[in-house]
Amino acid sequence: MTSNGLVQNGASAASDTSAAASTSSNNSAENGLDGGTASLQLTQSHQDIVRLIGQFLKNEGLSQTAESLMAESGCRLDHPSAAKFHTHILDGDWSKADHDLQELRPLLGQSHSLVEMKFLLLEQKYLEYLEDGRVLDALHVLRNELTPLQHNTARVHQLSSYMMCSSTQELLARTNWAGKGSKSRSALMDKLQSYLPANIMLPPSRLRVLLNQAVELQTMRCQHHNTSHGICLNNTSLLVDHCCPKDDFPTHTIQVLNDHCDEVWFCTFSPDGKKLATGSKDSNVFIWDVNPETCTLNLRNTLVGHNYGAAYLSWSPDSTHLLACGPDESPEVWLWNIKTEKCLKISQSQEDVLTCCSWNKDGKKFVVGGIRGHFYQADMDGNISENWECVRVNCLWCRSDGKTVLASDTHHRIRSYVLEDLTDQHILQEEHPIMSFTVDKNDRLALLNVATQGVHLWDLKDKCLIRRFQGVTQGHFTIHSTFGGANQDFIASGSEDNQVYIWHTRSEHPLATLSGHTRTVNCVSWNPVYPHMLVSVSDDCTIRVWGPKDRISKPSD
Amino acid sequence: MGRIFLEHMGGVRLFSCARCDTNLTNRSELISTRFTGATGRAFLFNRVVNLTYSEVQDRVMLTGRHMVRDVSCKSCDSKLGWMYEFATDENQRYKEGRVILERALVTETDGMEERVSFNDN
Repeated sequence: MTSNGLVQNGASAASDTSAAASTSSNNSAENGLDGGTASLQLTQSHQDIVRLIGQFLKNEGLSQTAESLMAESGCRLDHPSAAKFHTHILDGDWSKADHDLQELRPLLGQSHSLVEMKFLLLEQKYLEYLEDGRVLDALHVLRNELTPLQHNTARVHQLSSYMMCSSTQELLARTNWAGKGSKSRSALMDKLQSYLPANIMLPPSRLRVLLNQAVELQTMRCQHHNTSHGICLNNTSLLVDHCCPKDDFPTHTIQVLNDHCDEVWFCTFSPDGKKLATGSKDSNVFIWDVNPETCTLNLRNTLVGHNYGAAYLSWSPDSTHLLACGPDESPEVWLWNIKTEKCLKISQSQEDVLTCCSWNKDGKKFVVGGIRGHFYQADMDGNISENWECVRVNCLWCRSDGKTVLASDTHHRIRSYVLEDLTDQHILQEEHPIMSFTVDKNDRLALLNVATQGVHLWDLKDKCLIRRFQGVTQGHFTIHSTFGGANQDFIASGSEDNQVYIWHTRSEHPLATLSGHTRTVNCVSWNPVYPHMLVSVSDDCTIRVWGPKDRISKPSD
Repeated sequence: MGRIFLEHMGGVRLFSCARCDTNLTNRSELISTRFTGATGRAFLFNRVVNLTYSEVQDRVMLTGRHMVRDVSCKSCDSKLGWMYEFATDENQRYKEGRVILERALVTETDGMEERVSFNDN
């Protein structure tokens, strides 16, 4: 077949090109077009698309279709030398593969690629000889082919040590290699392919890779994305863009509870998502059972006796105990065992003021503090240890390392403290008072409610402000916000304008504002296990449960 | 009415509301002790926290005409003094933005030495 493709008539040209195309790896032309269908002129990008489709068809076993596609379009899947190379690698034909490498050499970009590719090839050859027991041949490869390359000598030494293996099993175990065969050779081919420019050899499964990227982008653009199972080609339709329905997002009032008889100041779900605790000025803490199917709450325990009111609550990591703090005059913290309804009062003296607390991740100890300068650690028996004096803290968080504690103080800062070493470190400085803060479950981001400024998101590791969220009014009352959603992509906060605000962490404009409360919304909690459930509490003495539209209870007939 | 958010200025000698002990300011913010209010002696402070402010009122005082706002404790709402919005007399301008607390309506107590160093590791 001549390379300029001159044709006598249409029929013979068609048969010539189809004859050439049927031996798919031996297309004669060096450049793209074979002069197949004379009138078809594809742009470069369309040629690429045709090649990707051809690769996909071939991988799925539709080789005839792939070949006729290549013939009709005049494109080719891979450069002929690359196609040969591919075949020889899969056949284990090492000397021919080496010859192919020499042919490909002028097409490779960087000169050291050739050495690296040769190395990989020889490595496979060597290991296969060892597996076959052809020790002398393996030694020949090691000495006369690998060593002269003077590349990656550490690996060459490692390879030479494998000669000591007494059996195939030992060889496979030590080398962590799949063994001689199509699996390891395909893996080798994939590695080698990365050195070849894309127009010489297509990256493997390129169409699938592109489609996965499209699905990823759709997921990122999905505003109400609230599901934890990953969206990928296997579980989504390519025919429409992925978009979580807005009605599935928890923005509808499912239940309103009036059990508290005064302002409700705090709410928090237990880490296992099965219980909710609410604290109120009426001196009670209520524990509720969560029904995730109906998105409703059922009163389960009433914990009484918080004479100043219960302003801040914290669940132990195993969801069995609850710490309750009072507001600014309270000298003690209540430690409740939820099952027995027994409580222990934690305090050093009646002069203390303790308004915040946080559990250590081990669930056996916790820290407490307040703005009169008390800040210490206690255990489940009420024994105090690790006292840090003279810092006025108003919110605490124990980090996942089990010894560092974050504390926001009256100087508008968050600092970290290691109580046992008495060391501390600066984390961040705000220009206005920090009313409260919470940390995400990866222990990386901190969400702050900053007086008069709104909600700020900081990166604790890089110590920089990521985003200021717009919309919330606050400054007079202490408002709490929370991370939430299946992937902790959302943020929700209460506000002095009686609404609940929800944002996606990526955007400063609110995604949703939930109306219903008639007074300031003090606190919001998002269920960590059932992300379609959100609870807010307010000065209007009510607790509101928010959920997807289809959970709204129908009025009884 | 919600959990009222209260700041705390810290310092070595603290001034707080006589009725509910809410922290207001400290000695380092004190500018002058030579003022007089309805209950007697009064102090001028630079910065005071946890206050609520009334509407602006036009008042003629010993030192001249001023626009002032009465200030009360944010927590218990008891009267504490006033702050200066505007002073007609140029000599009195130093008072603008600052707060007068009447001595009888506040309590002075000991605070503590606080380490307020920033950006240290």
